[in-house]
Amino acid sequence: MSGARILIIEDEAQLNYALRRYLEESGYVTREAEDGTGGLREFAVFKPDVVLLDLMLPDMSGVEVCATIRQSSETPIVVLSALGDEKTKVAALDEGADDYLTKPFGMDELLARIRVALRHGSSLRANQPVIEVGELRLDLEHRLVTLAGREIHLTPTEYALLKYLATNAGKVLTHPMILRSVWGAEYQDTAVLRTCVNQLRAKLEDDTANPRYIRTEPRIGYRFASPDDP
Amino acid sequence: MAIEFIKRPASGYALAAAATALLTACLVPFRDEVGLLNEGLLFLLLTLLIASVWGRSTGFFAAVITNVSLNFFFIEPYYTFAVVHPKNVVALAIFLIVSVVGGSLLSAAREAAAQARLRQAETEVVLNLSRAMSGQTEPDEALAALCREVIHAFDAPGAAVLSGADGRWSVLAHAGSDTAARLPEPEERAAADRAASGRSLQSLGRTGLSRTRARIVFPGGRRSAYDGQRSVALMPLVVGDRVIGVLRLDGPIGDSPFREHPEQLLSAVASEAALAVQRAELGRAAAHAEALRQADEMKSALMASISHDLKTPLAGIKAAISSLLDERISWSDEDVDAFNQAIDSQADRLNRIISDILDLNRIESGSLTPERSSISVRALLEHAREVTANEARGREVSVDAEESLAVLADEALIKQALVNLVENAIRYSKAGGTIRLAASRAGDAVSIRVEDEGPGIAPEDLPFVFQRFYRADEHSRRIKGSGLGLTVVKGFVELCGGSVSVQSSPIGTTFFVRLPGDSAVRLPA
Repeated sequence: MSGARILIIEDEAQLNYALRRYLEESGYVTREAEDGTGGLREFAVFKPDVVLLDLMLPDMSGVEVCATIRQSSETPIVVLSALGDEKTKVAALDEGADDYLTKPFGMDELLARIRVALRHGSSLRANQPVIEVGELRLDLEHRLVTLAGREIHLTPTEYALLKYLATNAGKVLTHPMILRSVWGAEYQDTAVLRTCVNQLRAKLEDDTANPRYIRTEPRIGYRFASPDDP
Repeated sequence: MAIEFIKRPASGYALAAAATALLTACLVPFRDEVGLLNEGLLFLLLTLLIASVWGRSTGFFAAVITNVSLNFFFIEPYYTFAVVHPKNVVALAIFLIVSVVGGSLLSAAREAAAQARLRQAETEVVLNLSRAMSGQTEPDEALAALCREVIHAFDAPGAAVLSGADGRWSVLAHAGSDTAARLPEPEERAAADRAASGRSLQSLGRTGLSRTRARIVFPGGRRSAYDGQRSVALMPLVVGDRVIGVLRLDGPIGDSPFREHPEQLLSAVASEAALAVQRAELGRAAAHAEALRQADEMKSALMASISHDLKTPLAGIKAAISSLLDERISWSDEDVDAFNQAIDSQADRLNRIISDILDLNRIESGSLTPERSSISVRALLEHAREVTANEARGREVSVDAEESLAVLADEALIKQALVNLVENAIRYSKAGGTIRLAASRAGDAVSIRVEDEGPGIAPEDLPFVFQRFYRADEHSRRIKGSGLGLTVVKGFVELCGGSVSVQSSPIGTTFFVRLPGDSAVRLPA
């Protein structure tokens, strides 16, 4: 989606510069901020389509920035973080971040994530009743799941899980987020989730060891494949 | 000493014989006036007295000789053992029975009283022991207190608690003479091994020795061994089925109520010692586990910090390079320049972090041997300013030091330490701030100051700034350093025979480096 607006909140000046120039050359409109306060100010004025957010900022943590943005907006947020702060990463995802990129990353990968985030943002806006990824088709209106035209029978929990994952396609969902949304606030047992994901994979995936639709984000959660995914 | 002598069993027999002779001599001139009944009663009295002082066997001996004396000197016909009147035969028999039974009863009562006194003394010793040990917080001190109480109770020259884990003997605690701290000698070690081995206890048990006795080793004899200078009593320390050490008491045992039968008290003391040793073992195990846990935590902190600090500059490099490599974009010269600069400075940053890690490793492994020479302080400070000029952008770094000021230090180490300090000051300074590098004489030493106008360090954080991975508060995690720089500074300066300290207020922080001064100035290479 050329011309989309991207807000970069990153305090490393040289990384910031490279991101800005590369995204500009790739056809995006960018704005940058070096700290959280500036980032939130720019967010209100610039109204970006995607936010790239570093987790370690001088004045506040990226998790706080994430939570503040989510109070007023569903704009996709891609977290940029150096390995070693996995807890912060999970905290940011729990606060509503859509995806994360581990430093160092190549610009190709960044572009791919931005495309997924933009699509997710637009799918949120469209609130479409049918979700199609590859051969899988999920008709939310008629509660119908088909794989290559064949109807797949799911238990109510399996359907609820698939619906939650698919409506958030491309977004990384942490274990607690999924448990909260599908099972309810009191559920904390990831084993229940893992079992249900395995059942779903058995029904949907050709190769459950290399799942195409429900992908594992190690130690964090799951991500449903977006149509942009390879 | 006289009482000691009189109390000996041999003295008892001699005195019994002498007293009988004396009483006989006194009574013989008046034997017709006194009468056989009274003479018999006087001899009975003597026998009971002797039995009460020297015990059963001496009493029995007295009963026999007074009977003989009565027969020989006081029953007609005199001076023969013949007895004419049958009633005198009966009288002699009754006299013998009464003196033997009376003596036995008296000596039994005496022994019971002595036993009771011993038990009481034992209880007191154990009580004192518990009191002395409970006053000690450190397990080893508790064991030393136990040894002191043991020496006191037995009036012995020395005592020690030994541990024999895995066949390696060590002294856990000792008290008394210097020799008490010795490791077991070969003969003693064999005895201690025997005492400490459950197998030997069982086999001794089968031979009919009591368990308590079997645990005591008397080199060179039984009870008498306690009187010799080289006598040693060894008592195993048993917890459950496990022998965890040995209590060793060096002879000779002095004037102590436990001298005759030391086993009982030794056994009680050994149980206390066993518990104390076990507590010490558990304490050591807990301390070891805690040390391992801390090392593990440290390792995790190291990994987290290093991975983050290495990945951040790498991210800058990777972003710049992958941008340059993208063939779809034709970059302007200005962009190419900026990307190249980013790659260059981020590579420098990576290099510094790696150097810090390697430097710290060299300090900790002790492989660094500083080569001291005389170095101009001003040149050192100017070097630090030059090296950090790129990073300082927008901040002024001033140098104020007399030309003649010189320190004796390893040039490479002290250069690196000062560069680290200046980098640290730059990191914590805002653009437009000033960093002052100054030096002055302080007696024979030279004091170098690195002052910044940063936000300062909280007083509670100050003591920890030289620790690894310490960054003041959570917010200053944003400060892009390895968290090792100041640790390296401290290590290097101390290797050069100097010291570092820090003062801070909300308007700035000053690091002080104190190094041995030198009057002859040479410029650094």
